[in-house]
Amino acid sequence: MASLSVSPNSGTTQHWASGLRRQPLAVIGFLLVTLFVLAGLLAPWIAPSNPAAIDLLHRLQGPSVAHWCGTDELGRDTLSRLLWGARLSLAVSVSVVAVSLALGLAIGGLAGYCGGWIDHLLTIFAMNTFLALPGILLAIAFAAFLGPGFQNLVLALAIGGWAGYARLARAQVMAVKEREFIEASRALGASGMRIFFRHILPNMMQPVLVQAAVGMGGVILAEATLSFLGLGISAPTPSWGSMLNDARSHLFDSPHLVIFPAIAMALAVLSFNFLGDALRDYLDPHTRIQMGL
Amino acid sequence: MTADMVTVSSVSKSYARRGGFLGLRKEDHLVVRDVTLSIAEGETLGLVGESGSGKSTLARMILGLVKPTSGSIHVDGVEVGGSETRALRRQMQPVFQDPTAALDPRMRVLDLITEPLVIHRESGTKIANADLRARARELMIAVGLDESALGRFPHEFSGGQRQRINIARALALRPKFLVLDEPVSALDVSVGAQIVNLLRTLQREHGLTYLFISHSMPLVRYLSTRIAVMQQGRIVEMGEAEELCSQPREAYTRQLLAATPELPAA
Repeated sequence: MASLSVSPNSGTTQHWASGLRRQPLAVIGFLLVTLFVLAGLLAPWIAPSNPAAIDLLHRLQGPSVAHWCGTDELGRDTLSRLLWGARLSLAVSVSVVAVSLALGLAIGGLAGYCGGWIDHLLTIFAMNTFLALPGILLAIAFAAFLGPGFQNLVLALAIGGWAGYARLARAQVMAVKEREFIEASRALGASGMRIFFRHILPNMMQPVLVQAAVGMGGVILAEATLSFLGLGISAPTPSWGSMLNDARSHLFDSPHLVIFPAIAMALAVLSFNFLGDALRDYLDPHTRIQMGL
Repeated sequence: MTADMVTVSSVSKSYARRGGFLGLRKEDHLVVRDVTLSIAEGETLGLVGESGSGKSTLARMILGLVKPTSGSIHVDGVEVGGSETRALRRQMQPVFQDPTAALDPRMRVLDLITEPLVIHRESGTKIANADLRARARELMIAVGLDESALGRFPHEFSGGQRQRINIARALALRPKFLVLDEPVSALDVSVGAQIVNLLRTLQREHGLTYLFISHSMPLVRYLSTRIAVMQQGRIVEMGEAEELCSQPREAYTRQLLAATPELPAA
């Protein structure tokens, strides 16, 4: 097949090649996210050494064959710590987005679907209160209040994040609720539950999923911020944020300690943003046709 | 004289409208004013009137989607809005104006047209997929679509085909009464004519009763047994189709007759 083909079944390589030409950022984002997820999942097996193993004789070394990304002030292997940091970031971002999304969909969905005083109550007293406070400030306050630990970290970040999803979910439900096919299914005799779960939910998920993908990047940053401030995961567990914090005093003599975690973090956040954009194009049936996906 | 399928007795609908400084003054806006009409079993009542005359509001009240401010509506002997409304929906199905908007864009045709069957199955029971598929195939044949359409999504079809899908869904429960709210207004004329002919055939085959709403006099004349003319929420004239068109009493009816060009006999 010499001519270019739009058929999705025309061989995987060709499919990827044509995808790369049409949406280069999407493919890069997808590959980077895959890399990030694999690094996180496989960290215990692919990390060259124990991320907590201290080797004071070889501290603050630059990149070398033995330590690809150098070592930190305690002689720990930076690459291993980066991989384990990816594992933590992945676990935190997936958990936080899942919790925020569930909470946001439930509260926003209820407010949008029911309307009336339920909407007033939930929107004004729950959503707007949380939206009025900066999410990271809330997270810092709760992290300080709850103390360190994985569950508390997730909880603190979800408390700062759910209201954004709730606001989006509410707006989406309200928009979809007014569409004619909802009235049509009401006329067919569909129950409220059926209308919400079979008709409204599938039709509002597109922007919510896009926000969730972008939100993954946001959570990675927020987790790093908390860890940087010492409010995240406690010491021996490597986190990109705490790695940056440790590197502060060696900014000029060992810049690799800042550069590598910063690159990892930037790439992770960027790739989730690319993925979010790609997801928006992919989930919209109209652009799908235009782009021949 | 056959029994009445639908009786609408002195039904009105008003919406509160805010006006004046900061919307402090509240006034009632009457959309439908004291409408009384009946539709006999097996006949088609055409409802004509310009945009905003209250036709669609009346249709929505008959379908039980909007509550009348006063008056009562009975379909097949059951009060609309009463405790038996859900069961009544088996007998009364809608076809809306915009065939695209009325179909959930994320459902396949098979799921769309069998949804009424799933909704109205006996509680706690499950209909076998094979049975649903078989009924869906019958419906596709009845509305003149190919069976291969079942696995596809609404956006893959043309407007006329989508309206056929809407009609198939409306027929799924073998209802007695269809509310056709401007079913061809969004389609171009030749496609609309095909849909009108399909509706006519279906009515003959299944003994359906229609409420056919349109702003086009020739269409209503072609399809209806009787015609009701609606203006500013009131029924201003009602009578046998041919009689009303050849000897209109109201000036407004004459205006409507004159406003629309004659369709070539479809």
